[in-house]
Amino acid sequence: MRTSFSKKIVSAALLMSLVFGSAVASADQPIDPDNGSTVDVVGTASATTIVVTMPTVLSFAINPNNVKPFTSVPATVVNSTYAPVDLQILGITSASGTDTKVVDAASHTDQEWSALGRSATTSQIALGLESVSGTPITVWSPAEIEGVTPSVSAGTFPLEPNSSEEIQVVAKHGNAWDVAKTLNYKLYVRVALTEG
Amino acid sequence: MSENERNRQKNSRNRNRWIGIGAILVIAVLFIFLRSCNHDSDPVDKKKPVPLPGGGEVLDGDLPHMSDDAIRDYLKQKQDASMFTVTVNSEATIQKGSKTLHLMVANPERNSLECYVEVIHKGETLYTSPLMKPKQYIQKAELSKPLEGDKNKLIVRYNIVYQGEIVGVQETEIMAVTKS
Repeated sequence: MRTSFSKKIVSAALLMSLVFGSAVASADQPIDPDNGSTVDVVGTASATTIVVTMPTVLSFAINPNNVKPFTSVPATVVNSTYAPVDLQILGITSASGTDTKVVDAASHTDQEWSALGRSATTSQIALGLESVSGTPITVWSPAEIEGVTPSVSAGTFPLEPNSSEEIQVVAKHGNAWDVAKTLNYKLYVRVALTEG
Repeated sequence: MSENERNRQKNSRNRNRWIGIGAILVIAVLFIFLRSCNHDSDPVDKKKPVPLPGGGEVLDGDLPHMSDDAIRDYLKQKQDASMFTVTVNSEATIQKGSKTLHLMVANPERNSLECYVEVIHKGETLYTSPLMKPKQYIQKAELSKPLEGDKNKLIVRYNIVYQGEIVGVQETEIMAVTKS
């Protein structure tokens, strides 16, 4: 008997809620029998936070007494952004105290590079970056200009959302090093959300 | 034979005698001199041990060098130790006519190096932050002049500092939205 009464109460409540609910809906948004109703949908999108990790030092070694004189190792660039970003290479410049300046890679043919004499070897080098994983891309730094900070993109490595890419230094250089040298360079990069 | 003639002959003999003695002395001196000059090439001296040309140690084998793997390991270690993370909100806001730019730029905790940032608009630096240690951030920048227009692309340049020198430069492109 008590159970039966409870069921009736619940049923009545449900029925009233349906009637009341539909009454509210019909009062706020009249339904056009031909076109249906329109409902405003309001959303908010926060600005994306760009989070990218990459090394500040890209190392290489030149051993002119080896068949393959140039050695570099891959560096990992991590895009922790949940959106695609472009890693733009602006340029590479020599740090103070390094006399071997960055020149255009096309300033010599490969044969000419390997035939450079002592003076040219110790004063010129072409540096760039290449992708190790993914689509093969090589970006050569433009020639450095004293006192000028590189600001124009020389090439781009696209980074997928929440992914990593391996890049490494490439170089063109002479082999006539009369003394051992420590060469220090600064790499200028820019990260931006991918256009398009 | 007159007395004078005998004296002349005697003097002549004496002179010849002295010339002969002088010649013998000169020959003797020359002989001694030449003998002293050839002293080093005396076969007896050659039997002495030749002195060493220098000090130090002579090692067997070819010139040692780092192996390719050792060079790669060294380079890899240097690179991995220099990892740096930039964290920037891609949007900044500014009130129309104001010079206070609201932006979020951090030197996250995972970094080990200090940095400072510059806000650059069309090649002109409008703001330079104080030095930020890891786990520090800024949320507004007082620009040297207000921005014009509704939207402006800005460059946030991270200057990564180690022992007072900039060791790396990483830039991030953001959008500044002007609100009225």
